[in-house]
Amino acid sequence: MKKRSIGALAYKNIQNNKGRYFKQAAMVMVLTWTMLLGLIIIVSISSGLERLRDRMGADLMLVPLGYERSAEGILIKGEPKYFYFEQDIMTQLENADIEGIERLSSQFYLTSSNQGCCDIPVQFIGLDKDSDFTIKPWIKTLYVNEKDYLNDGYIVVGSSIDVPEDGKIRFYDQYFTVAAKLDQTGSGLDNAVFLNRTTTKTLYEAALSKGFNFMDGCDPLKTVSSVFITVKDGTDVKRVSQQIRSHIDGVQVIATDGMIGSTQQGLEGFISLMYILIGILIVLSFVILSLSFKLQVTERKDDYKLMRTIGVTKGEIRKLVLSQAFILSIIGSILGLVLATVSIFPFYTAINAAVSIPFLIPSGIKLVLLYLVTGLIGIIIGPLGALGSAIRISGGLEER
Amino acid sequence: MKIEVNNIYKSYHSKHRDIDVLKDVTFSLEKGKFYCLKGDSGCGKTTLLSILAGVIKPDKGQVIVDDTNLTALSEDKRTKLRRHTIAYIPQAQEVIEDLTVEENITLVDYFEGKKVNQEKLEEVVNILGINKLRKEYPRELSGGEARRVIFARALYQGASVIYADEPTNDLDKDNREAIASIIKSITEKGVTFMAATHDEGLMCRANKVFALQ
Amino acid sequence: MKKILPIVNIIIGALLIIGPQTFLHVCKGSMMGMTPPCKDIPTWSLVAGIILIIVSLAKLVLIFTGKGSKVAYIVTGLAEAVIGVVAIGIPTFIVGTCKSQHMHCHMVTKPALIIIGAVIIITAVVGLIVNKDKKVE
Repeated sequence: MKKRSIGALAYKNIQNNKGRYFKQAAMVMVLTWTMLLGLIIIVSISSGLERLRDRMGADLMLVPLGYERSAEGILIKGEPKYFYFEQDIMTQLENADIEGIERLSSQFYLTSSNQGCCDIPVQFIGLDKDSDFTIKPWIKTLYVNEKDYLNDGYIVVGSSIDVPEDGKIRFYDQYFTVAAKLDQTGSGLDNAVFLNRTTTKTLYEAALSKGFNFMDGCDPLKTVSSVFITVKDGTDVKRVSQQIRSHIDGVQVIATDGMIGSTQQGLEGFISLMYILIGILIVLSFVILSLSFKLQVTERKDDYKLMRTIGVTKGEIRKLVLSQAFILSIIGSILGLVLATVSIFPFYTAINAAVSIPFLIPSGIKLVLLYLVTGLIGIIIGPLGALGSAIRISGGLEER
Repeated sequence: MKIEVNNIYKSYHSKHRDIDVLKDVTFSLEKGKFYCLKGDSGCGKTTLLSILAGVIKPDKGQVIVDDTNLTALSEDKRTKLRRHTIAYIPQAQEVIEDLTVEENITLVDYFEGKKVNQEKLEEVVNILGINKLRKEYPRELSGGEARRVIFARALYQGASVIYADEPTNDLDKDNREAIASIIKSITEKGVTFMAATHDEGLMCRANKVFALQ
Repeated sequence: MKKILPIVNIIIGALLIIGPQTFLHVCKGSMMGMTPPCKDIPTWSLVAGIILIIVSLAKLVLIFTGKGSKVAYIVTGLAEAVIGVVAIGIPTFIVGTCKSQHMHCHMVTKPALIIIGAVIIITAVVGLIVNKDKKVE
């Protein structure tokens, strides 16, 4: 026979009276479920924006005038779009000889089709292999030699795109070999396919043959959708931006910091509100649990009086009440954490597709910390709520 | 075990008046004897038993239990004495509804972190005649059976002296007789028993009856 | 608890029937002559949901009439567990879903059916535990 203990007695009380104790466990479950869900959402949004900022790699982005929203759509929301400069923007930039520019790289946009000729709907981004600085640092899995990843016929895919077993994906009835897969950003770039200019031309011609004409007279080797610019250290980005606008017409200059910054600003209010709501929930839970434990302890007053009579000390009574609260909190916390896990992780792709902002679920230590913090708060809130009642009931049992 | 009660005084103070409940109460109890305490309602029987059991302290006087001055001990030490040496059964004491009969009897083991003493438990349930009720819950017991469980708990805890307030209260004649016999057999095993009671049948079985005026 | 579990399963059974026909829908129509692999998920779910409701109703009858033997509870419990495994299997190894992560069947229907299947298995196991003290007749 096992040794008996106060913990065992506490557990027995709960087992024999599940109805009475269910409410407290349920309260803790709701608290941890909501709290973990809320924290994961907050951290996911912050992480998504941070990662996108890092991934951009550029200080400025040039797009045709009036296409700022479309550019935002591609990068932040993952909405496949295409647009092109009417002029030869690269030559204009060269001729303008603007001070402070360190690197320039152009991109060309295409989209795939929802029709049966394409395996999946994606955003195509044609890159200049020699000048590109936006994707190489973010390669997660390489399927070919490092120097070959942007060779002709190869594509580099964003993290959301599944790579078939044979390593080939079909677009406009043409098969392209996947050379690498990029790290996750939680943004629209996860649904993008990157390819060099020659491969882009092959793709463009394949689309034309299927009746998709993205732009009349467009040469995929030369046409530009956007230009990414990094400025030299110490250079004022605003000044470079002004100079570009003054030298070149028909161009929208976007400070990438600004684009992400404005999204971030808009979300800051939401994030603050989430933190406030979580705080309110913790306080409310504490109050409700305190009241609930008070009622429950009063209900069992005669039992505790009996225990004092047979030689159980005040400290032991307190320990019994707190043990019960602790066990209920553990049960509630575990259930809440499991429910939060089941609520968000299986549906991550759906959530990411539904929200129009970068959303990157934390992983590794960050995620473990979130679980630990939430679990800890869940575990201690019960005993904290029961503390007042435990002290009161252990003291007030003396006869006159 | 020898218990000496010397010059006990106890008053209660309320807003409107002071009540002297016990005034200069002195007596002694011997091992293995059965004592009854009688008196009108409100004369201080419950108060006296509470003092003897160490639940409350007197205003003046001492209770000496085998050379230990009970009244001079701290609350925790007095409480711990009630775990094994002294058993106190207040009036209308119930059993814990959420625990089986066996768990009620061995309740103190949960707080001492011990395994159940099966031998002691067997002995005690046989003395009280409740062996078949061990796995039952209190809601399935009669009044008399529940009373036996309470006595069983006191014996299991190894009490040398048992103080009981109206132990046959609310019981029918047969059960009162049964409890009286049980008390007799407990005292024959060397346990001192003191009952505050109005039950004449119980009083006539006692070795001595104290009257509180 | 004994009465609540079959009622929960009846609700889950209804979810299995209605879900894939509505908010848990799979990919619709044909894609240029190709049938999407997830096409049969609603039919399988419908059948699983109906069987689950029948088994749960049978269990409720056993409980309310008090005529249920231990064997009857074990058999119904096992039947529920099998339905749970089938619910998990429908989007995974029985029917399957489209390959792309962004297709609705993959993003929503699959995880939802897996969770529903897991819940059915849990209620089956809890039901078996709760009824374990029934006497064998």
